[in-house]
Amino acid sequence: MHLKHFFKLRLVFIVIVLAFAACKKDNQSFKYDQINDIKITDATTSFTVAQRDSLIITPTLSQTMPAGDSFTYSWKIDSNVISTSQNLRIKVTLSPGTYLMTYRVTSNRNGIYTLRRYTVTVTGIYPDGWYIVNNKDGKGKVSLIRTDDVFFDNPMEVANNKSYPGKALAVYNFGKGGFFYYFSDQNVYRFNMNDWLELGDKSSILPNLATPLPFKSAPAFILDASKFDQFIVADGSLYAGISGSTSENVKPFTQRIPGDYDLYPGVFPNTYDLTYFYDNAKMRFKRMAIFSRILEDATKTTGSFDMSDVGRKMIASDRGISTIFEEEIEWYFIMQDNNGRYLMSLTYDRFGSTLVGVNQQMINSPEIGSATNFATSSILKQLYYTVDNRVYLYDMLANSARLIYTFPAGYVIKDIEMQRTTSKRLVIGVNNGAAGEVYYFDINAQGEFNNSTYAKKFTGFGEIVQIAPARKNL
Amino acid sequence: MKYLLYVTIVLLLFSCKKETVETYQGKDGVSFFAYTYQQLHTTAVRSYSFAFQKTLKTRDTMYIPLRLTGKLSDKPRTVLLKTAEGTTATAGVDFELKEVTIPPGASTFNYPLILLNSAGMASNVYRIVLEPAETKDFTLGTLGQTPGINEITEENFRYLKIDVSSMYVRPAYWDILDEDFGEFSAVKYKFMVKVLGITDFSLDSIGSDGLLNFPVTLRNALADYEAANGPLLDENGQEISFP
Repeated sequence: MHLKHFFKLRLVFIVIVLAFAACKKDNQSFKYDQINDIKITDATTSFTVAQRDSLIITPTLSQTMPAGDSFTYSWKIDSNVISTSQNLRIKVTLSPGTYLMTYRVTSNRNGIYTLRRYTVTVTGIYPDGWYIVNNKDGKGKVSLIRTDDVFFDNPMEVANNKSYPGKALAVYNFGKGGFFYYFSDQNVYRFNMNDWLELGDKSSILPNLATPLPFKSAPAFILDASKFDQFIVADGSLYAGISGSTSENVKPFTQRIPGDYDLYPGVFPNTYDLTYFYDNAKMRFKRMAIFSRILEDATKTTGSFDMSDVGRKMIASDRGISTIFEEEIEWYFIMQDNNGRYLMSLTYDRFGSTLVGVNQQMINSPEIGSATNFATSSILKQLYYTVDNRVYLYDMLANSARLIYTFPAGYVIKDIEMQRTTSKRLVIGVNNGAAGEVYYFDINAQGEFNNSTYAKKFTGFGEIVQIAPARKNL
Repeated sequence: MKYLLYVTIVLLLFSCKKETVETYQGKDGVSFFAYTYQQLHTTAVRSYSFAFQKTLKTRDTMYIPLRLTGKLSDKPRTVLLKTAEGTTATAGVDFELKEVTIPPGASTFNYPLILLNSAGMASNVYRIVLEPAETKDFTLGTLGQTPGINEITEENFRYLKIDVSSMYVRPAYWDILDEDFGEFSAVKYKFMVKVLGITDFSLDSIGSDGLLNFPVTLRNALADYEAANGPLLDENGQEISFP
């Protein structure tokens, strides 16, 4: 064949060859072998663990042909391998949240693997419970009784590896989650409520104060009902700040709100846009509107009392019922004049407007004139008050009280706090000299203590100053 | 057979064809630019006073955001602003406008307007009305509102008004401060600078917490001042107060 003709035919030849090669008959001949069928048979696939605690999972593997097989293991969260052991045993350093974790067991014989997915919920190391503010050897600290009754003596020093000097005054949960404020007589701090890492001190919380910290007496803190404003009342003075859309963008407080007043250490968010305070100098309510920084006299009210002219000194306060989103909150007050002590309240109507409530002198109530601690129920018209080592239950409707518990002689009740979510538990902090103890009392349907005694007891505190719920302070 | 093969190969080569995408044709444009929430549109007036600066200045630069429309360029281009009707300031005495080079690839640009602290500003407020000038690279850009990122509306506009002085003139941003700081006066402004240590009280500068917290600081400071000196009077003889 002539070379020229060969090249002309070459392309035709290639196309034909490719066409024949494109398809190949498959004779459908497969070879089947038995493999080792591995299964992870754990019934539990969800775990909840606190930060810094150990997470231990020991999966149960079943195999159909175990002889001669070996495995490679991997535990992954997202794409991060956290362990390559058969059993998981790690110290959790993840941030609080819910994670999907994948466990993979791969046969070294043939590369076949099986997977199991677990859900891991990481809570803060200190997720919930009661803060116990106490002083030991002249130094303040906040201890925590976690909901599972695990006790932490001084988490803020442990978490931050530093000392916090000064006597403890008070602690308050921010109310939106995220952090809590700790007041000492030398400084004020913010701590992350999950890990207790310090987030700031007075230089960022109360910068440029006209009167320098420290506060001399225990301050009060709370968000307003809208949760856009935050307030501190300390040493009779009011400080306000924007609470931010989240706890991350909380803003600093003002200087002392100007004015001639001496506030009772309490803040009373009542309706969405109004927060009340009480001036013990002029014995009248004051108020501040949302995003206002003007502390003005409460307007005159008719009904059981006139908020603009109460004429009594406020001794104590606690909250009653509230709307479901806490945009309106009822408050009870213990007031005093020369004739005795009175129970008074602020409430709200269905339109979210302020109403004055009860105003009655507390009679048939033993030692009421000497009572120092008060806690109201949010489900029963009852309140508890204490004198020295004695706990009384006051029935608002009957206007009378009775003794329901007595601590041993020498004990002095320092603070009482209702577990507000249920009003079924009263937490009492008592001091026996410089040694503090905390008692949980469970409350029955009549408002009395179950079995007339406490449900739990915790010891080992310094001298207790305050007890406060870790997750909510409204 | 061989012709069929060749035809097939040729057809295969031309079976796909890149579609021509229509692109903008024409001279690129430039306009003033602001987010609508800033309310810095055509009818708004920006203000500048040499009195409000931390230090005494003979000249200062006000940066004016511009947006370029048309094609991006990989070469530097020049932009120029010119004065428009309504201008009372004098070029070369009260301000300077220069042709400025925009870096390659830019779609927005801050034009540096040079303000000069002239003798006349001590007793006058001069207005500068600006508009983009035609250059070899740009003509007037497209105008109007456009939706931006996160539903923040943006606005391109033609004219920009700036009041410039070295007097203590009420700054345009005081509209937002009126409710919490009260009426503007030169004496009040100087008192605020002395107490708070800042000279720019615009919301962008002081933030929402400054808007609420600073008046408290000022009320306390004023109370201290009054206790020591009596009422603080402004330039019109009115007693200074903060609401």
